[in-house]
Amino acid sequence: MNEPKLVFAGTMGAGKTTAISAISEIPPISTDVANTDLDAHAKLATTVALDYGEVTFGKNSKLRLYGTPGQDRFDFIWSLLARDALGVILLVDNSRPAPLTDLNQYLDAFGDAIEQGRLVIGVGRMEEFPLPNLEAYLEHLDARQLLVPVIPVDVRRREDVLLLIESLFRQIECLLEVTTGGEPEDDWSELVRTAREGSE
Amino acid sequence: MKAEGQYRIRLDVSEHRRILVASMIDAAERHAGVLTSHWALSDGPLEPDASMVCDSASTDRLRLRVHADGRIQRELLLHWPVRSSELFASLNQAALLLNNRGGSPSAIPTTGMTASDAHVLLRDWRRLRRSNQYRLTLCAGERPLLAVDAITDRVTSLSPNIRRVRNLLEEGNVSLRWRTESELPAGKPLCRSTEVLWLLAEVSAGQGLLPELEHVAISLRGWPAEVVHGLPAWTTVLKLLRRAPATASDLLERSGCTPAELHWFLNGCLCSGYLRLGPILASEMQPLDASRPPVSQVGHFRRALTAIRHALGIPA
Amino acid sequence: MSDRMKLPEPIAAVVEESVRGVHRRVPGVTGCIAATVDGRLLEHVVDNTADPRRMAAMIGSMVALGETIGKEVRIGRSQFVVVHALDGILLMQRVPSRKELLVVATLARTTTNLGVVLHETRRAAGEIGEALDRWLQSSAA
Repeated sequence: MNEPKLVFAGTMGAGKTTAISAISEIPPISTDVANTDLDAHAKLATTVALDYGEVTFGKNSKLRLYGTPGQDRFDFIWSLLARDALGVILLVDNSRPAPLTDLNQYLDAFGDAIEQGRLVIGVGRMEEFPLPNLEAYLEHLDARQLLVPVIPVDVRRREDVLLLIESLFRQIECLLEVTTGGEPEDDWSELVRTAREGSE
Repeated sequence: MKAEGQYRIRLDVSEHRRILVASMIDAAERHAGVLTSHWALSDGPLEPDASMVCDSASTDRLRLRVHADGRIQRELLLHWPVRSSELFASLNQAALLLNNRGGSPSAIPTTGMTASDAHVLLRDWRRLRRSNQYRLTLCAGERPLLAVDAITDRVTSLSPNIRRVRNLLEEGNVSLRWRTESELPAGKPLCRSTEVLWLLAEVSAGQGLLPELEHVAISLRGWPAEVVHGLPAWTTVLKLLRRAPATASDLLERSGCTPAELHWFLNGCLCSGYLRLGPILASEMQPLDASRPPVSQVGHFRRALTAIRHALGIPA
Repeated sequence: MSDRMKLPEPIAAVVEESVRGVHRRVPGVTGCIAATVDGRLLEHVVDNTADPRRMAAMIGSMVALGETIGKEVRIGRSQFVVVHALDGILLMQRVPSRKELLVVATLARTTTNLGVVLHETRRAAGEIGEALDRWLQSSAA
């Protein structure tokens, strides 16, 4: 996991590109083209392959940030990008006509990530569109017997994107087995140690 | 001359406690709205004005002495282990005093909501939450500032200049009470109701579990997103609950949480709708050994997450 | 919201004729597809069992990715993207026009000369592009 990847998925216009822009340290690389389906969303451009951003951690390691195209016709890319990902941040747009139906499609597609506790759901535009509320999301996920964090967010705010990432990490840590310490120092621990020394 | 709202604090405590308190203050400085003033750590002698010294009153208590106008204006005592929320509330109280020096210290609010008040409110929340007739309101005197609504899952701001809910509750001068819909002015959405509920659960920690949680099998029906702002010890509780239903006493025994930490977590989860309660069925319960996770080589993974947090500036 | 797009009649006729023309003129061509840049199917002739809607989405992705990669590795604008597989060739390119809204792709057997596939795909793209420009001009007038 020298270059772990984090995948931002979700419906068209949910804010995947925006979320990546909020935290990437390089200008995000995008594959935006003209949106010809204005019935689906009024925005003028849409991602058709992927968005890409990076965050450097440690000395030479990169967290790679990938955004998926939103439309379900691009689901072939979803599974490609989610393979071996550190986690998936699923963004749902509460202003759409049926957010819970949208959600189902992604829950099906990212079943493996959910199974491994590596998916978190961020619900956008909840202030203007309060329904379905969080209890409805809880009920919906409970009916599918899924335990996934659901957090209202505005991904234009960096701190909200970080909140999603931290929720994902907490969930991953919860499912990790606890080490009892005393293990020999490996590449990762050296990396972390030097990263800390470098930033102090 | 320092600008108003910037004060110096000296930590005269043992090294490990000094690191702990300093990291709490440092974390708070990085979160807008947690502290109302800026606190700069100082090792040297402090001027006898507008500063605070933090020392150990005894092995189990931390003493905060607020110096203003050449004398000690107030002494605040905190018990170890010090919760960050308590420390922040004390720093904010001290800041209020320092900001208003020259005025009467008695004008400074000294207490926020008591633990037993908060516990009663949580009980009421469980009883009245689905009622269309009542809203839990945060009031200054008789003036409602916020309405907490279980139906819409919102906290509505009824005051145009509302600050953070947490600050309001911790600084005192406010109360929570139930009001009918007709008594409330129109407001605008401010945050999720769970923000207030988890705060009440935190304030009431140590007062015990809500009655519904006693002698039942507890399981998760949703992932408590609020854990992200909570205690590391909750991770173990979540891990246990993810595996199988457990009773509160089992969780206390196996998680390593203190009773107060567990009460905070379970009461918060219950009021936010994350728990399913059922009869205790021996066949479903976790055998004691299952709670002890096997040793494995996942330290590198955990450390990777720590390094990414560090790079993104997420407090660990 | 649809994975298939209905074009204005004057353009639709040209797209249909161009796509079918490539398929008709070159014996080794086993399919031709026109789609929007964001992957919605417009017109297709495909001899094998591949799903044209999925192909349309993938072609949209590949053309955009080719252009992004071209810029990223400093080799300029991508002209076309080719997948040369064991049992066939897929050549994809954008339709040149004032508003770049469409892509076209040709599927061929490996025995087919790649130059011929490229020439025919370009010809179809050119015809479609001209029709699109004419329609845009008349709509603006």
